[in-house]
Amino acid sequence: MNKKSSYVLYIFLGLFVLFTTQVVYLISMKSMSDEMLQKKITFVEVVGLPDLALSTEATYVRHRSLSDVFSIYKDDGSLREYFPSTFAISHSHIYNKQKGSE
Amino acid sequence: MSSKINIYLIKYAINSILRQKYKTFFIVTIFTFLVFLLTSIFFITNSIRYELDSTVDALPQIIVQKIKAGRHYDIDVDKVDEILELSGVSDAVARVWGYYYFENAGVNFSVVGIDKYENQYKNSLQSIVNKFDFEESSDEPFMVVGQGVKEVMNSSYFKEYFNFIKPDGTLKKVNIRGVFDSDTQLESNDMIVMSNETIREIFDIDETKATDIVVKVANPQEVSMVASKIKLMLPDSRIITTQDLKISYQNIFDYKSGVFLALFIVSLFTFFIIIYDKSSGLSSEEKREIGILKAIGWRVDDVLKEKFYESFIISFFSYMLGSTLTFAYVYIFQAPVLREIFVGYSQLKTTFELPFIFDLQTLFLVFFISVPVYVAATIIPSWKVATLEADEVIR
Amino acid sequence: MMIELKNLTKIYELNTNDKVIALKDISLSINEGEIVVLKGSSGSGKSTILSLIAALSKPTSGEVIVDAKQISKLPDSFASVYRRDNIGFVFQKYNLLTNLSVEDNILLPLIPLNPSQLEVDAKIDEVMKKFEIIHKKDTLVRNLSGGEQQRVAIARANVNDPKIIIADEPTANLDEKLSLNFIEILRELKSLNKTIIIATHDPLFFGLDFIDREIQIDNGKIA
Repeated sequence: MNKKSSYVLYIFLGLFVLFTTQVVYLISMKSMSDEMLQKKITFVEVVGLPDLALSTEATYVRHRSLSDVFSIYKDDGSLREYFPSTFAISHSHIYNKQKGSE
Repeated sequence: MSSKINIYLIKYAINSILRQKYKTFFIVTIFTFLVFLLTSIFFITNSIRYELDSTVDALPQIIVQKIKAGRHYDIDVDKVDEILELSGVSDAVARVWGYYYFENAGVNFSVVGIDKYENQYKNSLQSIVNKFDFEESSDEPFMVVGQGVKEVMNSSYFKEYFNFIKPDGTLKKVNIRGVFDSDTQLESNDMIVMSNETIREIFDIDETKATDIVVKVANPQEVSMVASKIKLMLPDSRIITTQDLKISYQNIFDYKSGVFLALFIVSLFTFFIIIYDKSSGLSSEEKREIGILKAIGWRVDDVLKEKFYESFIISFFSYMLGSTLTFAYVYIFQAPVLREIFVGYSQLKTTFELPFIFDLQTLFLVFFISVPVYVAATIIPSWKVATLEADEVIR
Repeated sequence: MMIELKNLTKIYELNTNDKVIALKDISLSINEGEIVVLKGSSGSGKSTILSLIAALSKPTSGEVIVDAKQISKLPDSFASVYRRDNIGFVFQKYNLLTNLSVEDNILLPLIPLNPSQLEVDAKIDEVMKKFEIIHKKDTLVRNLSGGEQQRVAIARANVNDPKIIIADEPTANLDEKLSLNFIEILRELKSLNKTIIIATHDPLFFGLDFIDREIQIDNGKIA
């Protein structure tokens, strides 16, 4: 009985160590370095366009924040783009925030 | 005695778990998978959000667009002078940008025009462009492209230059002078940056028109005030401030979250089914066991403590395993499959790396919706049985 | 340890039409160190008396007093502690955890006490030796014969050195040889001055020399 419980405890400990090692490794190797961040910021400054280069063919998604009014799923002329989420969720929180910022 | 941890109880709990090998294995697998799915989703979202949030302040403070008949239209360049006259405005520049669809490859490029040779650009560009030499540029038009663009052009045999097809059908040759650094890939992958002259030629936008106007405000506190002034002055315009962009970024995962939300709900649902199954009562075996323990002198407390250890060990182990797997899956293997859901589809592939963020909040959130719930679901029915008269249970 | 039963009545399923009156106004005293046999056919109420003495259930009315303490009205937690410290119960069906080994089963009553490793090992070994089950200590209970299982049950009942030992139909599943074995064990336990109460209808128990008293129970009453 002792052996079995010791195994389990060792496995637990091993898992914990693995977890910590992973986190340490990731923090040191895979975080965004300052250099990289600076490059990104510089690029955005030069170009001045928002949004990431994802979904490049769907132009209303590509530059979502500046998207053309004539996009699909738009409920009100003065609203910003927010895509189909309002199929499930009310957009009033976006509308209210927008009103607050003006 | 009560201050010392009862090792025997813990050992008994461990043995109890090991005795029900198949059941335990099943629960641990499902639990781990759920934790894995949930944390993966959160981590991917966090990483992408982080990318956006770290660059948002570098964006223009105010962007002025013209709206005509509900559609985005080219704005008159002379509006720039009108805007410059407003107090609080430190600079206003007309900007030309748009989309060029490269039919051969079925790929869409985002093209942006900048004023060439401006000092501010020279230095900045130097740092983010590979193999670029401003001095070398001759009178021939040139452009700097993103990594993805370069690759697509290469595969279509455009190695040193590219031929744009103008609206009148003629070709415009533009030399490729440099490629944006791969570190900026997420922002620059589909971008082409060229001089304003060239872009106007390619899109056939004359000197008096621009895509939008970018405005700089001297005092950041006054941005919204200036924005409303501009709106008053130009009633057919739409003003987008940095604040609006931030809100837009916050909402950016609402739609993606739609898919995400579906996954999330499915996970939660499966999870709660397990909980429900557990909490709806113990098997007669388990009841008998508790009855026997009570009969030989275990108190309700002891029984509950043991059940607590059992359920905590299982759920915490699954939680740790799920989280560990997630870290590897998302940040080392770059989340194959799940990533596609968030990144969306495009012909132009980006090979960006998700940056690592140690998000304690997510870890805690997932912990609290999984471990305590499972523990409670185990303890409550055990408590119900343990408080019965021992006699009833073992007869 | 004086055990006193005063006007005990136990009715099962009290609030239904199927109520069963197991005990009717029983009064009884047992002295410390006595061996008492409760005789009677099945359903006569013997097991109920044992249950009540061990605080496994509460009487409908009346009192159980053990060592001048009121047992019958103890809250659940205290009742468990009382059982743990004072009672060793050998159940009719043994009530062992069949998926555990012999040693683990015998260990069970000691777990809540959180004793030291040395104490535990000493106690368990002692009790396993005494009841001749030590050679099977790592065997799972479900792989043991009836007689061996009974010895494990007895060992478990004795591991916490209780003052009162209760056995409910101990020889019901045993052949004659094993039954006689059991009787020898009883004799030994008596020499340790334990108070022993046995409920049985096995005639082997009647007329034995070391039994202090035989009490006949019929239909919930003392005959």
